[in-house]
Amino acid sequence: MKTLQRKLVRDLWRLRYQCITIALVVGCGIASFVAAVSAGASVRASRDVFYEDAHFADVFAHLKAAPRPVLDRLRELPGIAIVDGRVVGDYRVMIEGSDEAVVAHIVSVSWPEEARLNRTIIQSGRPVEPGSPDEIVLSSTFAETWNLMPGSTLKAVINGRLAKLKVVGVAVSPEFVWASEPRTGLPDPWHFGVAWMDRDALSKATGLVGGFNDVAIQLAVGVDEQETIERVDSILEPYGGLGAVGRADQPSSHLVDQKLGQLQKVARTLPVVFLGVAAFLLHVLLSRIVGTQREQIATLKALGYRTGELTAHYLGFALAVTALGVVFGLVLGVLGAKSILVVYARYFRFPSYLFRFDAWTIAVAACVAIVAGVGGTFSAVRRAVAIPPAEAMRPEAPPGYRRTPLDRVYALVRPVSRMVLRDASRRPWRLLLSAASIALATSIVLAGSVMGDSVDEVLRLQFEVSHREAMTVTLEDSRSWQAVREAAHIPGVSSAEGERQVPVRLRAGHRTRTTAILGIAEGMDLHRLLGVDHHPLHVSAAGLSLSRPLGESLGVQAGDDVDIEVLEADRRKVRVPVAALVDDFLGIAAYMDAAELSHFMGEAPRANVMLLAVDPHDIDEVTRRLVDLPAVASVSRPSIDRGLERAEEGDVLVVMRVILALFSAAIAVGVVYNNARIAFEMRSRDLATLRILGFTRGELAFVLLGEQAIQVVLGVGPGLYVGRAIGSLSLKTVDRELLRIPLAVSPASYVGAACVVLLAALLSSLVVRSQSDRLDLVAVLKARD
Amino acid sequence: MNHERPTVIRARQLVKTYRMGEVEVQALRGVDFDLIQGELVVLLGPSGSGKSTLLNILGGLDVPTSGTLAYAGHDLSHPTEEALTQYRRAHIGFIFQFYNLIPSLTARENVALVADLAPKAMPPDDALDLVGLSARRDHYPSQMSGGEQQRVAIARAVVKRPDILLCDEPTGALDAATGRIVLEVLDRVNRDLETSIAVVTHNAPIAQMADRVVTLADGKIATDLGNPNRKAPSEVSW
Repeated sequence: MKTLQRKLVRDLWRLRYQCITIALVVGCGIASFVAAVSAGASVRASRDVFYEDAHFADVFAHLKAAPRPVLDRLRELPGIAIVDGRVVGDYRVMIEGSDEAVVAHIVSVSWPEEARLNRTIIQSGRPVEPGSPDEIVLSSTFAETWNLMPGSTLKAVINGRLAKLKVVGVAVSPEFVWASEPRTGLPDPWHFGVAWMDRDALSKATGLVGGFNDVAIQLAVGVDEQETIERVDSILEPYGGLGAVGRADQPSSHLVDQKLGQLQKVARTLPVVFLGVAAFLLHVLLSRIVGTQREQIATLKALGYRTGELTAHYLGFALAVTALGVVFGLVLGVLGAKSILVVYARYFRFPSYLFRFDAWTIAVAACVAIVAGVGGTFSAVRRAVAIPPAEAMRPEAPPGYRRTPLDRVYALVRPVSRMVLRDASRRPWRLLLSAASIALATSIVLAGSVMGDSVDEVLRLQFEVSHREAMTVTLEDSRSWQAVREAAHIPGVSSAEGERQVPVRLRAGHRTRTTAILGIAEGMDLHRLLGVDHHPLHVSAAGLSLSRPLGESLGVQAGDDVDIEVLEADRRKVRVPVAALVDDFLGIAAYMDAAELSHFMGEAPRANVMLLAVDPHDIDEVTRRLVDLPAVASVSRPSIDRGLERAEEGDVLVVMRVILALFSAAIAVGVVYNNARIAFEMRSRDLATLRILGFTRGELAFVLLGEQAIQVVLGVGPGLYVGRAIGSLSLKTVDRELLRIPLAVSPASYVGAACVVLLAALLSSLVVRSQSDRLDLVAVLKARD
Repeated sequence: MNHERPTVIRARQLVKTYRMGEVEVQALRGVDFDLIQGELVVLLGPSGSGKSTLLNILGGLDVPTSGTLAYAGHDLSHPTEEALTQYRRAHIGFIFQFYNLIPSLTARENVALVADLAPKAMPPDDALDLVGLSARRDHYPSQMSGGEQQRVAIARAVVKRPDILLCDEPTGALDAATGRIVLEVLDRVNRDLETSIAVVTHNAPIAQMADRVVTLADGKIATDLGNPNRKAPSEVSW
């Protein structure tokens, strides 16, 4: 079979541009799959290694304060391996040259190291020396944001006293892979950071000598976590225990898991769609290319080649193209995964990122491509060999045109246009398949924009419609409304409103969730509750209203009861009916009428959050004044938060958009170039004849490319529609407890998606046109008859 | 006709009907035909008389609608796909009017394509030597004249030493001088390798180099005459 193999190599070379464009389509399909799967596997592996190396705890508990001997009681519980009692606290930090209200979450470091959980991994500098009173190690995100490094100093207000602290190292910790500000859950390194300090020094500064207010526990293998949590809670409750949580509910770990879950969902949805699209195109294009070789297949058959041998020969062609695509896909996919990891590394602080390649899933992707390519070729070869060679070598009978009602319409246009229209309508399936391919290309670009547009819409709703305050001020404890009235008098503040947020644990049957109840008062103007339908949310005057996903996770509906356990003050417990599940769009929350909440808390109306409307010029001045007030825990500016959130989502989305635009351009080029090329090969005789009859090159190009134009025009519209649908599918990959994103697509995205495809189609057409311009008339006409 | 030699192909009452676009064509209407070992038969007739259809059925490129066909006593009237392929592969060489060379292969490779299939094939270079094209063996079809391409096609047909060579208008696309060279090659193959040859043509003078001349008209055999004075191709003129 040596000569036949040589023919294979020559054919591949002759059709190299077509092969490359098809391989690119396959490559993009596989790349998106490989990138998503590998990025997920890499983050998971990096996380697992980090958690293991740094002795990440299994159970976490925070309490008001307890003497250290209580730790021994915890150690005596069954199934406990290590108990690390710590002192932690959030303290205002002053950084030289800045007026920002920055909070540092300072964690004590205990000795000896073997007894310590959640160990930090030092990235630069060194750990704090045992017993040193003023040394701290900073979290890497915080240090980088503020450009602090070993040798820098900062001041902190601990227990009302100003302490000067010396930065000796920068580190990462499994406890703060994602260091988010506790109130917003957003990573906000401009306002929130983590620091580590010697335990004795911190205990002394906070007045907790001989005590602890936080505990991390490592369990022995095979121990029931829930049971242990209940035992720990019963020991810590007298000391103001806020309820222990397992690793899955530890904020950073929870967020990392959520993001990983999201990545996994992304890997299971969009890339699967893309791989399907690529497989479909591979099938269609290869079967068309093999279709053009009908005469050669007949000749080889006449010469005595068996159907099996010919099938194998063309399968070789398909496999070569597919394999090229798979290689493209793997290379692009690994590059894609690495760029996703670069983005993730900015937010997920692991000491190092391991690259993992999930060989099994990737083998599946390659198999899908191979089956699609082989399938397309197989059916085309089958069709070609089904015809007796004598018939296949005979010039094809003139295609079966017949008069149709459309002819009346066609009679109205010029003969060249009539040729294009008749050709298109003679093979409607072929036309529709090509239009469908264009539609898929369009849909993929648009789908990539939907997520960004919808996130933009959420942010607009959140920060322009719902939260209209310029500043959000969180207070150390709840205060009477007098505090709000005073804030309204600060120069520059045009109005102030207070909100009462009560941290609670909700329980329904065996299910529990921790959240906060927000008291809703009549006439709140700076914070308007909005539903996903953009309309104001109505909160019932009696009972508790829950975000729908919260209600669903508790398994309750309107009319059911839930038990509320307040996680502050006297930790009172009460059972209330659920008034409604409401369709808000951000986070999981519980709402209650403000008056009812005060009544239930047994207090006069109070606030622990203040919303301020401030003249933009006065924001810095107002911030300075607020920061100096002792009752103020933190000050944030929603517009800045918004920028940060946008930056984080933005990085990932920009990477995604670029990949998707390239992918869809590859599809559009693959479809249009190959179709035009195949049409050119099949019709070169017609074209040469037309040219001899006196038609211009432009008219020839019109005949050749007119059908491609029809496909593109037919495909783009439905493609936009499908893209919107795929986009809304991609929104489902976002964790519903985090965001319920309303589908939003901007006009610019529609135009952009159409433009990417139209441009790609236009470029491919121009290339084929320049080939048709060089058509050798005599050679073509001499070739037969 | 030389009746001492065995009959290699025997066809009886061949009928072939096929559709060409929307038209139904009755190409053969009951044809009886024998091909004797070592003879050179010319099939003459106007366009549409059925001569190419007959040739295609004899060569296993097409199957008859009805009638019987046997090669060396083996029935090929209702062949399986595999039997037809095996028949073409082992016994038949084809030469087409439009050469049907594989454009991506050189002259030598086009010949080797068939040599690869046949156990008793001659070296491809010998076959090219036979048609006088050794010097052009590394040229692609697009780099050769029509006559050269047809000679490559002949070399490709004879390289496997077929029992029967079937030629459909082998000179149809060539000028007289080039056509004569091609006919000389066919004549040499017939005499030197003792290959049975059937040539379809509507070029009547070619009949002068045949052992037997069969004329078809309207899907039937009109005449079947022996030629006692077979001429050399160089003596034929048209």
